[in-house]
Amino acid sequence: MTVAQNIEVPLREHLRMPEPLMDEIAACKIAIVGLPEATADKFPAQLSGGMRKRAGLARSLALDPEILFLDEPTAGLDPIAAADFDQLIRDLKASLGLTVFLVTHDLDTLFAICDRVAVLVDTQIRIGTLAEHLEDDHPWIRAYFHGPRGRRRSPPRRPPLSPPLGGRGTRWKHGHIMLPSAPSC
Amino acid sequence: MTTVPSHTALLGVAILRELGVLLAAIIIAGRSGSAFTAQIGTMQVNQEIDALRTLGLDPVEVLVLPRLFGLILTLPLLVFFADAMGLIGGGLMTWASLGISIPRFLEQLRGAITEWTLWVGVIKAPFFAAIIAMIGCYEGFNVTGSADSVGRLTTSRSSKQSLSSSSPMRHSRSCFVSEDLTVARYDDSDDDDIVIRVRGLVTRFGAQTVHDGLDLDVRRGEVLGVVGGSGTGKSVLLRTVIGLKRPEAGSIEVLGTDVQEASEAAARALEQRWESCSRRCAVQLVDRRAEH
Repeated sequence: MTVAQNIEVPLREHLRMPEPLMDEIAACKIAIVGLPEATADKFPAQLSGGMRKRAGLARSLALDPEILFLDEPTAGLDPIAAADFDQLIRDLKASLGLTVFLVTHDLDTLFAICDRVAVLVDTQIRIGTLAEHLEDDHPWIRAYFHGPRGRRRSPPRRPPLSPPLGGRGTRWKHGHIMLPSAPSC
Repeated sequence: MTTVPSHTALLGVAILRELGVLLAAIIIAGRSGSAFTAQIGTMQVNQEIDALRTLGLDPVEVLVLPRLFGLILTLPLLVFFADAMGLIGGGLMTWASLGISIPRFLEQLRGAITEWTLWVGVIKAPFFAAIIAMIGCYEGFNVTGSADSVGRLTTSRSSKQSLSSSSPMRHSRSCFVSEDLTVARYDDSDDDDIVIRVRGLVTRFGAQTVHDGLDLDVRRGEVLGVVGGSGTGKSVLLRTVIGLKRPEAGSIEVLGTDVQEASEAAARALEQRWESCSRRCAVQLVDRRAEH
């Protein structure tokens, strides 16, 4: 099945709508996640890892959900693709009002897009902002946020919602142009 | 009828009534039954079945029924083929070793069998097909965790299938994944700002406690990151919240609906309002369905 057909699966299953409308929705979702238009007719096997994740996200957005659950979305992506994906989540959250429940190992993702962080330690959960976790005395949390990888990231800074890393402008323009009209499509 | 030599009658009746259908069923059990187990098992391992459920698709409807009907339609056709081949082979043997010419064999055969002899065999085929498909798919859903498990269950299924081709007992156990969702509760939660509310969540795997009394609120419009060491149950928490795993204790409300107690309809309505994108970000998932 092509990417477009994949996106249409939940539509087909849950709603009755004419074929051309479904194609339009699929094209719209593909644009929202910042994939080139031609992706619609490609097969998942023909896409790179990062594009596949975006395509998966596009299908997830097919029914305009309110909550998005992501399980390690940036795993296996190179740092640039991962940063792009983070930016995409942030854009979608801002424009579609999504609530995002995100399981991650990626410290960059945590610092870049998370409003609050839940840490699972000793069969318990500790929820707070990053700043609160950075002060936490629990040995595992200390090791996590102040370890060699964590130190480089803190203190949390939030890059502004601006076009992301250079050289990807064209691909992103899609996303930015399409975003405002997203909920209505 | 009385003039028909016993070997021709034996051959015709045995092949048409019993052997043709039985041999076809055994071969199909070995070939397609195992394939069903392997396909569904691999989807299980790749979390594609979970992905189907999060899309609000019923895995039985999407994966089992097409295979079931497909096999029920094709096995009778294959039985015709097996019958024809069996009779041709039998005819050749009587010619080669008994010196009876083919036209004479056909004539004798015509005296020995009736139309019903054929139908008695063919009529069994859909039942065999149903049993093969059911067991194949059932074992596929039983696959847990690893590729090793796919291999093991494929083998166990094949042997079981060969043994039980004639007993539909396991059939009844095949109602696997339907969740017992009963009471409908679709009232909106008191404050709309909390979209996910988890209270006193306890999860165990055997003796190992993963979550012990978790409380968690997710507010509307926020991005909540969940971190933790390996094995602390991050993905388990996610799967529990979206209803793919049942917790030992505790309650989970999503958008004001209790995930565990939601009725089928409420659960489906809820499924449309959230989406999950699993680790293997499942674009491939529906792919596999198209292959067969």
